[in-house]
Amino acid sequence: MRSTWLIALQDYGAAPESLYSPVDRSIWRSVEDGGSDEGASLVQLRSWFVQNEDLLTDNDFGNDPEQPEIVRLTSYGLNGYTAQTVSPFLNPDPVTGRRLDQGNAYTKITRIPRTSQTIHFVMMTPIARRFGEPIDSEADFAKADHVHPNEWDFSFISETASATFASSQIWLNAHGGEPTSPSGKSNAAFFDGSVRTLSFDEMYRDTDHNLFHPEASPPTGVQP
Amino acid sequence: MKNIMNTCIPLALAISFTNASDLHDADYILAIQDNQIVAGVVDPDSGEVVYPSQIKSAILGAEGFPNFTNDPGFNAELGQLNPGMFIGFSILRAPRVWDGAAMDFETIATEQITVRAAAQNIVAPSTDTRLDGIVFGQASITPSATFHHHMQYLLNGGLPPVVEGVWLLELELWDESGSVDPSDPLYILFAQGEGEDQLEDAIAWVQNNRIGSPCLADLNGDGSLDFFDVSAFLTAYNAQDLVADFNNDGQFNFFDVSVFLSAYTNGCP
Repeated sequence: MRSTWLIALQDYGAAPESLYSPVDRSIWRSVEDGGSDEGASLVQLRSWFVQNEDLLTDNDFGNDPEQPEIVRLTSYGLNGYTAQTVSPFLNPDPVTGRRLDQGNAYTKITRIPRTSQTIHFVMMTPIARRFGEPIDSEADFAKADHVHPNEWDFSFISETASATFASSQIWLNAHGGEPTSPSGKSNAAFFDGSVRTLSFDEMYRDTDHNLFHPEASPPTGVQP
Repeated sequence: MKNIMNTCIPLALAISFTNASDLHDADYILAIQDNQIVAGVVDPDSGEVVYPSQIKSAILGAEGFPNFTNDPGFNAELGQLNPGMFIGFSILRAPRVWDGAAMDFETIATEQITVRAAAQNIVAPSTDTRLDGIVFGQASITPSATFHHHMQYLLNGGLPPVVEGVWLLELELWDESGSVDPSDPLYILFAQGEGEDQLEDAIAWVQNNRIGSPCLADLNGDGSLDFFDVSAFLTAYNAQDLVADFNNDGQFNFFDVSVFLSAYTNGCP
């Protein structure tokens, strides 16, 4: 049976609580975990999955009208370039010049040429933002399990615009700095298994220079 | 690893968890009905998707800087699209800017609207010509045919200064394979600054003038314009019947008469 990566991690012994960062105090966590969201927890969701196996085998249950409301399930989110159901459609992909669609997405580690320079997981924003300011009336990406770095390039507007936009998805200052600043620091896990604390501008500069697109050049100064 | 990568939960932007539908209510919800791409929207009260719904609006600046938004996105309920299908868009005519005095969208905008999608910048035409766009998204290749993509919309390239107002962009969606018929026109309104206060009137105008009856002055619905329609308008006007509120401002005055006369003069198609 296929399962979500959150459930899959549980199968390898990861308790639900371990999917939260120790610094994560998002209000969208479950009440039992110190948040204030009364939606379904991962444990409750797991039993729902079992009852709806057909949706799991369909690979994606996200838009099922019967899906229960849920809490923030994890502090972490996948790099969208490497997750099939959210892999971007780019034609041509500005990095490679090739058409990128689900048929040739970076969904297998063998398609990722530099695992030590390609981010697998990042920390998800703990709160939604509107006009750059935090709001607590909706969760938006605070309940997401993936980011869309292919949408982040606003370097043509200003040096800080990409970070401002990305901050609605990634928790770019989980470990220091301002919430929408390129100098904010956060943790990132790489496909080689390593984890590093990096500032946003060390993870992402623009479409061609970042650690998310598996074939992009790293931002200047980042060591492999 | 494959299981993990291939089966991520598409939370948040992919869906919202505030209602049973789990669909982002800022997005169009796409489906195929009678072999045509159809757009719907989530009813905020019921959480149900209402098809067809051609109008969506968005606020420029909501994502953190002005002259920009990535709403509305395009989403779909499970199994409503063809697995793996590629969907593109075309821009049907020059964007309009809302004329708050005339209460209409007859003016072609001098501001430039750019649609960023699939790593390309598509600049809307400045004259009323159709601009064939590009494919911007692919439904998942699984039977659920999940589809969730956001194009990005920039006013004047997303650069300062902030421009206040309401703009109208008209799109059509199409299937790259050609096996499914294109959508009816989609009407996206972008508001910024004081334009947010005019958004409701602007939406009503689009509803009445782009989507509603093409023969608005045919008040008795007999397919022709004549004295009886004028009589019906005057009767409704005197009774302050909403039918006579032709500019949808909630008032009954000269402007309603003016809009009615214009519609009458324009005739029926």
